[in-house]
Amino acid sequence: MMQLKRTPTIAWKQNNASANLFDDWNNDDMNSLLKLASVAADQATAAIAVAENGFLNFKLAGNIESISISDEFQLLANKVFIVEDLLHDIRFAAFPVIEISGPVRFFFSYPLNRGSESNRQFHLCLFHSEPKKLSKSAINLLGLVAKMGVRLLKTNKQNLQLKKNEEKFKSSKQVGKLVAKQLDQQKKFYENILNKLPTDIAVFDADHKYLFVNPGAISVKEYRKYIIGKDDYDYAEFRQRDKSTADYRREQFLRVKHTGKEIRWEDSLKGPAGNTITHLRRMFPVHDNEGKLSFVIGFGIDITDRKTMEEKQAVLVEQLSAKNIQLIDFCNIVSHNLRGPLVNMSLLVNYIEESTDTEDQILLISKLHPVIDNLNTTFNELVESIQIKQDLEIKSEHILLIDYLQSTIEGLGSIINKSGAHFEVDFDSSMSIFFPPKYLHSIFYNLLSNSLKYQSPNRSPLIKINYTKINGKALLSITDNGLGIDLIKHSENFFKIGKVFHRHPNAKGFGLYMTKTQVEAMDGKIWVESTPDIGSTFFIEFSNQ
Amino acid sequence: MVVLFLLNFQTNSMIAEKSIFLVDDDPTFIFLTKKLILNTKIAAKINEFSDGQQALDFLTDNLEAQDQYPDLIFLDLSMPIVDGWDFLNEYLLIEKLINKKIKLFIVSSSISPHDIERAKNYKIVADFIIKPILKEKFLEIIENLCQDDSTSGMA
Repeated sequence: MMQLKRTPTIAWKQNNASANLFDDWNNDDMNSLLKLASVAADQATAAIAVAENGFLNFKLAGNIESISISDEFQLLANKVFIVEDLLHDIRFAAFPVIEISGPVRFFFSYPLNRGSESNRQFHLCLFHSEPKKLSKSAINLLGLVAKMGVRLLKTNKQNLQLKKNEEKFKSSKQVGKLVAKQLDQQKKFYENILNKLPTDIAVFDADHKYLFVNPGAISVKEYRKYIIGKDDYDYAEFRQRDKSTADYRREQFLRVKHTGKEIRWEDSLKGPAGNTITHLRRMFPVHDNEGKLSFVIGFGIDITDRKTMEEKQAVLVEQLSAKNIQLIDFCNIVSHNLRGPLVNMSLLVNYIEESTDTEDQILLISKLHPVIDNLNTTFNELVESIQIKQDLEIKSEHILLIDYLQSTIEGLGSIINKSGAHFEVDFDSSMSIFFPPKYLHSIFYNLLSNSLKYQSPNRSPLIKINYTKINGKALLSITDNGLGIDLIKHSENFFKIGKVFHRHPNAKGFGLYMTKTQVEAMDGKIWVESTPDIGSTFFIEFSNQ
Repeated sequence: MVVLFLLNFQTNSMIAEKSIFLVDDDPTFIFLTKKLILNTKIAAKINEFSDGQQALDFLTDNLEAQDQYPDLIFLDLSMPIVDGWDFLNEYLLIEKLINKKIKLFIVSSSISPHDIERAKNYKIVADFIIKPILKEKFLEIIENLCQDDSTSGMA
């Protein structure tokens, strides 16, 4: 009948206890400890208990799962707690039934360690379905077992810590290795960029000491190594070079340092092959957050190709503008030399038409002749000079200089005889020249007839012709003892078309212009030295000889 | 207008003979210009110079006798020795020493705008005449010259 009577019961209850509640324990140690306790307490069931969130959680020997009861009675206290028979214990009068995997009459609890934040408070518990009375020696024995439990707990904890540390160490070592590897790869990557860039790169500290230099700047590895931490003066001494470059670079560096601004400049050095290498250099400061100079980066790009192009361009522009001036001159001479005679002719014709007087008409007609002759000559000369400019087909030949000099002198025979001119030829008759024969003839003709035309009235003409060859160039000079020219007055106009310097009936200012055009068409040069009333020397330099 | 003036001019015995310098190396131009002046029946004394140097020499030689100086100079540009430009530059150097009022015209067969522009840089150049000198142009020049004379006379 008693079974029908419902009695208040503390029973098993599922509790969401923490999974790691007993992790401080080594399972084998705990099992051994519980077995020992069980033996000491005359086969009572042994368990390790720990409180959490108002629940008591037990772990029995060999039991993996923990079991929990609510701890309304605070079964676990920080002291030994013994209930010999629950049914006859006044402390449990209201709840005569406690079930821990079955009804419990006997309960014993012994605190193991002192609980703290990092340590759980464990108890060694014993319980049995029958009442039990423990002897004093049994209680003492259980006290020893409990002490052993404390020791085991401590040892295990230490072991765990050791293991943890070991793992940590192992993993940290691996991470370290990985990080090192990544860093190494990154470093290689950036180094590769810096080293392979076709520029000179140097990084300086605030005192102009090298922090880094790439192979673009210094190709030899040993030199690169040497320079780190040193400056340009050290390097100049090391390489036994003079320190002008170091001086210059220090100046640039200080400018960057003091102004805090980037500077750019171009410099040209002799390359290993003797060629000139031009760099565009830039130097700029890098400041930290506080505006203090951290370092200065300098780099240079080889702009030799660009520079060469620019120089070629400049030469072309010069040639073009020279051509342009020639063209303007030419237009002027056409407008002047052709228009003048034409205007005269038309006026004369007008007068002839208007005139009724025969004698007057005859006079006017006689005035027409020189105008027409003049026009004719001018026209022919203009045509000739146009031909030189357009004569792209003209070819140089290896010819004997003396042949062309002789034929020119023969051609001028009558004038030479009349003036009693003498020639001094001061070069070997075997000497050749690489030049268009037609031009050479024309040059000799113009220069020699010039010398004869402007001879001094006080002495008979003496004309010296000299010819030398040096380094692929040839120099021809023709010196006379004629009137000479005031070069200070006329230097600008000397070879210009239509320029005449002497009162001479046949002076029209074409000869020298033609000569210059012919010489320059073959990449040569012509110039003159002259003193009034002493004479003139014309020099012609021929290239490609 | 021109004709009227000419009539006045020819009947006015007060008009003095004009002195004209022709500085040009082209004998045909000299011949034609002289013929033109002759045809206008204007009383004129003409001096010829075949280059700038000769004209300059005349001016510097007669600094003490400036009554020999012309009223008009017709100056060619392209000449031997001292061309028109050189003449102008030299003229500027002696200009201060010249008391007589001289009108200077460039007379050139050049039609180059460059030359015309360049001539404008010289204050002493009254005008740039592209050859030939036509009768109308010559008369206009003489008329202006006479007007200048009368205005300066009134002042």
